[in-house]
Amino acid sequence: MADEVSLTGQLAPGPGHRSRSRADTPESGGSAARLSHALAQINDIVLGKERQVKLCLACILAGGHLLIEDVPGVGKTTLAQALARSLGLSFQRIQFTSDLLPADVVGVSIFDQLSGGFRFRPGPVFAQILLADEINRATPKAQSALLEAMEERQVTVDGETRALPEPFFVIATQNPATQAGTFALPESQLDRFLMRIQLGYPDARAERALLRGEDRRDAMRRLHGRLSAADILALQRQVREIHASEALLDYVQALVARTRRPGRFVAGLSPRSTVNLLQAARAWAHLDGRGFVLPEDIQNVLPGVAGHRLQPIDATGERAQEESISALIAEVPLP
Amino acid sequence: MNWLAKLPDALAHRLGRAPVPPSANARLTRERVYILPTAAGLLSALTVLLILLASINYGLGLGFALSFLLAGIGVVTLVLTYRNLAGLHVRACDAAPVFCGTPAAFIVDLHDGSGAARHALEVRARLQGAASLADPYVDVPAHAERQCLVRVDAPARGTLTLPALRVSTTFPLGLFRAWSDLDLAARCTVYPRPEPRPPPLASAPGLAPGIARTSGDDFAGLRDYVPGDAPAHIAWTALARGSGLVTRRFQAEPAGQIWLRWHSVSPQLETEQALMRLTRWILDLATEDRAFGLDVPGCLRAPGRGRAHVHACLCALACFGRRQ
Amino acid sequence: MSSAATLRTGAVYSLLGAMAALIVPHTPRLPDWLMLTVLAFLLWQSLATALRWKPLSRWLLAGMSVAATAAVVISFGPVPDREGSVVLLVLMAGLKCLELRSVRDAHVATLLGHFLIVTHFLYSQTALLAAFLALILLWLVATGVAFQDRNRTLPPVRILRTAAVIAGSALPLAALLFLLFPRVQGPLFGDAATPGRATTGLGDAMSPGDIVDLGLSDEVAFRVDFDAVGVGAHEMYWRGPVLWDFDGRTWRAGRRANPPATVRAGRRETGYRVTLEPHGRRWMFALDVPAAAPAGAVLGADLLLRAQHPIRTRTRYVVRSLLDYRVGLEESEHVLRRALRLPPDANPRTVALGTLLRTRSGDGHGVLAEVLSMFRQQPFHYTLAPPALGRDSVDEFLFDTRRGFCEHYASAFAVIMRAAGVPARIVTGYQGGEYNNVGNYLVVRQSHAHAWVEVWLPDQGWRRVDPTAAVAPGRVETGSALPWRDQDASRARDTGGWPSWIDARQVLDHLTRSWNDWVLDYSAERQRGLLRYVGLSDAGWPRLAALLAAAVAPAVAALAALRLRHRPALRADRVDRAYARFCSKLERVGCARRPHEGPYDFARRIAMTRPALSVPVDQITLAYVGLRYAHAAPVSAAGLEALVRAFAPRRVLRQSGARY
Repeated sequence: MADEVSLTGQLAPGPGHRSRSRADTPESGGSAARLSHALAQINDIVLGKERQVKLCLACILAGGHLLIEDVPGVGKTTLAQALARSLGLSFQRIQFTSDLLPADVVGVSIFDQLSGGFRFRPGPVFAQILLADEINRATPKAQSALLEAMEERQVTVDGETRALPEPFFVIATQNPATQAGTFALPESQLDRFLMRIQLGYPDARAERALLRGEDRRDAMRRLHGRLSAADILALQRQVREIHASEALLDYVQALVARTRRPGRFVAGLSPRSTVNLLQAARAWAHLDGRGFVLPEDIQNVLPGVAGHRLQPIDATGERAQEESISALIAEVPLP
Repeated sequence: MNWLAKLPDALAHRLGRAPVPPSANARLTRERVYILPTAAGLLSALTVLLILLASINYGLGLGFALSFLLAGIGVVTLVLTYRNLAGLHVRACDAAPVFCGTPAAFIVDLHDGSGAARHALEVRARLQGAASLADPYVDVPAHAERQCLVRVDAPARGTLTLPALRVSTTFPLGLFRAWSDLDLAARCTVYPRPEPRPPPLASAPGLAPGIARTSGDDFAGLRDYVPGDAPAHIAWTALARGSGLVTRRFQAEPAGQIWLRWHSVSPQLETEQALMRLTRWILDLATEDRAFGLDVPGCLRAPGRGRAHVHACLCALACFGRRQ
Repeated sequence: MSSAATLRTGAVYSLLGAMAALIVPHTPRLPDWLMLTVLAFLLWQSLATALRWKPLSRWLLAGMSVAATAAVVISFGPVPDREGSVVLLVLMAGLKCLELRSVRDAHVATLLGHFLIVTHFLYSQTALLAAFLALILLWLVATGVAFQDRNRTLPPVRILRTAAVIAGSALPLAALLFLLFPRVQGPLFGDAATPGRATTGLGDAMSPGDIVDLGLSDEVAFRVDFDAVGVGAHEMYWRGPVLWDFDGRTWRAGRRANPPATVRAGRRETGYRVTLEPHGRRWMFALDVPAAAPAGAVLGADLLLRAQHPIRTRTRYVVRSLLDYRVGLEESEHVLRRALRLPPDANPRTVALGTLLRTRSGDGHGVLAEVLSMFRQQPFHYTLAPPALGRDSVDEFLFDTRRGFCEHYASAFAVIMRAAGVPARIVTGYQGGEYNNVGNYLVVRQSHAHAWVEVWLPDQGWRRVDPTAAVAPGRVETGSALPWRDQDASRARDTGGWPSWIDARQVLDHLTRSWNDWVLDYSAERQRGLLRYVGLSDAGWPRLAALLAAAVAPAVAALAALRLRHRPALRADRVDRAYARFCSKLERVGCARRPHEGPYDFARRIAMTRPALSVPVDQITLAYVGLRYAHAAPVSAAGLEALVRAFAPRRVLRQSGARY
């Protein structure tokens, strides 16, 4: 939270900042405090990745699914687990493999000898947080079973539609597409994730702490759920009420128009992505304790929201995507 | 007035200004903007001179006043025309890929950073073959950004770089033309031209069998019956259970993927012809949204679908034999 | 070049309108067929523009141009005079208006419009006309801007504003050029006299009623600046043509020139400077009697100043006049005989009266006194509306009507004198004048035209006698010609102040005079005078050119600096404007905001690099962000503006000792 401390430390919040966003209901003040506890707790597990952790939380608060992508071993699963546990929601995990079947995700109807009829046995998708590990190792068929659930927030088995619990988040991890034995998620399915986060290698300080410290798995076991489902829903409601001024919407539109320009990206951001972008920025503003969205919020969440949706035409180099998004930000002057 | 049109080049050449290295954007600093009178400007100067002579001859005090006022207007116009261009920010963006033979459309951003609205700016490529747009004038309000398109013919596959641009203006009175020549770094990938009438894909030798298959054999679920579904796919057991007519869905297996291989086309055709044929096939496959892989010397792409994949394959063909 | 279809129609109408406005005022001077033709051209083109007719073929237009030129050559000769040139120019402008296909055509038409402006100056150069034509010029400039606005995005108001900015910025430059551009005295070629100016004023003949007609005209004849005051109203006789020959009704100057008269100067004399309006004759007016001729003029036999050429431009000359003098004491017999000649059968009653007086009074002095007292005592009336007179005009006037204007009295007086054997001649000219208190000069108008008599007495030579003064003394005392103006003049004197209408008239006349002096007749001589006044004696061409460059270059530089400077204050929104000002203040201490940098990021960066500024920067940033992005702000827009105004980063940094 280094960023936030310096900001709030020096810019004394005027009337209507923190108070507006957090004091709407008596319990909301409490949920905000619990949220910052959760944040601190995750940062104790995942060292040196404050920004990514904050992005993850923003993604959750905006009500979107999260995709964590990076090479094996940088702590994707750890982050996903720490998130899931700290939020205090019911939690299921699926390890995706190439022989995973759709039924393994959504559940199956089995014949019950006793009642003489079919009985539905729910799959792991019936949880509030579903951790889908290495999602790109499964076949497209299994992938799409999960992705339909993500979009509709319901599953249909044997012609019967069953609603998923509220809230429902999918936190998926995947290895980069260049890794062998992967089935890259098609664009339409990538679009269902609100954000894609890349962790990257830890910096020297964090790595040293990692080497010194205890086993992450032990620490993980000690994590408590700091929030409840009701808290999350309340926070999501507050996020939706964060104010986005006309000037800000102008900026968002200018930015999005720039992505749609031919030449840089294979395809620009869709209207749905634009809505998601604003929602994520709202969540980010909320995490900063502000009742309104700033252009900086958009700039902060843009790499996460747009990274997996914008395919640079000249995809040369590992960091092409990241670079082209920061070039994009630098090109659009503020109103 | 042909010599007049050539004068700017000659002058720039004579001045021997070191060319500015290409970059994605440029600011038209004062030393990069040149200005010369237009034909209309010279004609106006002649008019002023004649009015002055007439005034001297007939002793017309007001004639003097008029000729000096016109001269003053000329000077003011010089400054205003120059101002209309100086300080402008110009940025070129990479253009969307095109097929060989169609013009590439580069978007050029013009941004005013000095708080002065600019009018009737003209942006043209200084290339011989550069097609100019029907209406190439751009107005840029103060502190705002506007775009214009520069179309450049793409005669050969590969990478097309944006030719030198000339941004010029004659606003407000057309007496002077201020201009600046810019080398902006922007590129456009030019795909090979798709072959107009290629042989059907299936006839190509060396292709994997079974490419024409429209359904796989892996059971993927049930859906409502639609008239026309093959009887073999109807879930008769489900019908027997009393759940009505449903059709079994199947999904294609990865084994049904298509590989487009260089050696299957190259021996019979010249290189360019082969590239054109492959381009056409890739486009056909992309239209049908089928997964395919590409195997040409220097590039092996695993089967895939989607725009990014198609683009990557076409890029490989565009740069075939041309890679840095 | 763009085709006709892409010419902005509004601008085409505007151009046609401006051309019409330039051509129509020529109507009284140019043939009607020409006006109708050219206006038909303009109408055609506006219809063609409105209805999108196909443009006329170039061949047709070329043929019409040739025909027009031929017509002008046939009417006005191969080298057309000025009227011919104007006709040709108007025709060409009209033809060019038929060919408005491209921006270039429009430009050529505009240039023809500039020439049309000059054609007006050939006929008149009043300030009012200049103002009208200045407006037309602005209109033409705006039209030019409209044609250059290729995307047609500028609304008319903005186009007009741009034109006004162009013209307004050009004015100081034009003024500098006007004052300092080396002036050459024309003409360079051909006959340079300004044509078409009506020749008004005194002629070299006088019949009853001639001066009455002049008396109704308010036109200025000339203006006079005296070196010193001291010329009485009764001495202000501006000498014009002297008339010798009488045919019973009309007095004429006659062709024969008399030998020069001798002048014996007295003690009093006065110097003054006359600015004579062009009247188309050669004589130049001077106070009775001029001592010597100014440069370029000769002092004729009748003590009349004559220029070498007819006066067709406003002419300035400095003269000295004698106020005490004796003229023609040794006049020749031949001349005196001419001054006694009368037509044999005309005006018998007057001739009889003259003979009677001669025998009764003996010498010339007696006759003079007798006739003047007759005018004074008998019921003669001075009137502007005298009855018409027949062949024996003097008889009818003296014995029947007894109502007349100055020329009646002068004529009658001279005839009596000649009949009585006293040599007499008529002098025409102006009497008096209207003193302009605003500019301290005398205006002499056509209404001051006058006629008086000179009689020759052996001991006095030629002596001036004004019989009108005997009838209407006020006429001479006030210097005003007309009875009704007498009252006004006295009223003006009584009030002694500004408010009456005559003062407004004085101001206007003063303005006209300044206009004439400084705009119309600003000559090489005047330019030298101005430079001498600012301390540059006798600047030659090279020096003047250097001076011009030295004055114009900074003016252009100032203009360029004014136009090229960075203007962050042009934002429409108050809040944005204040924030932009805040950013440019920070830019001046080396903290430029990157265009895409958000306000919080910017503030944070400043806090990092310039900690001393962080408090005010945070305060302003919060206020701005509140106004721009939140729905409730800690301060109002005015509050933000005040904060930004009070923000002085340079001072804060200096006080905190930070380097920047």
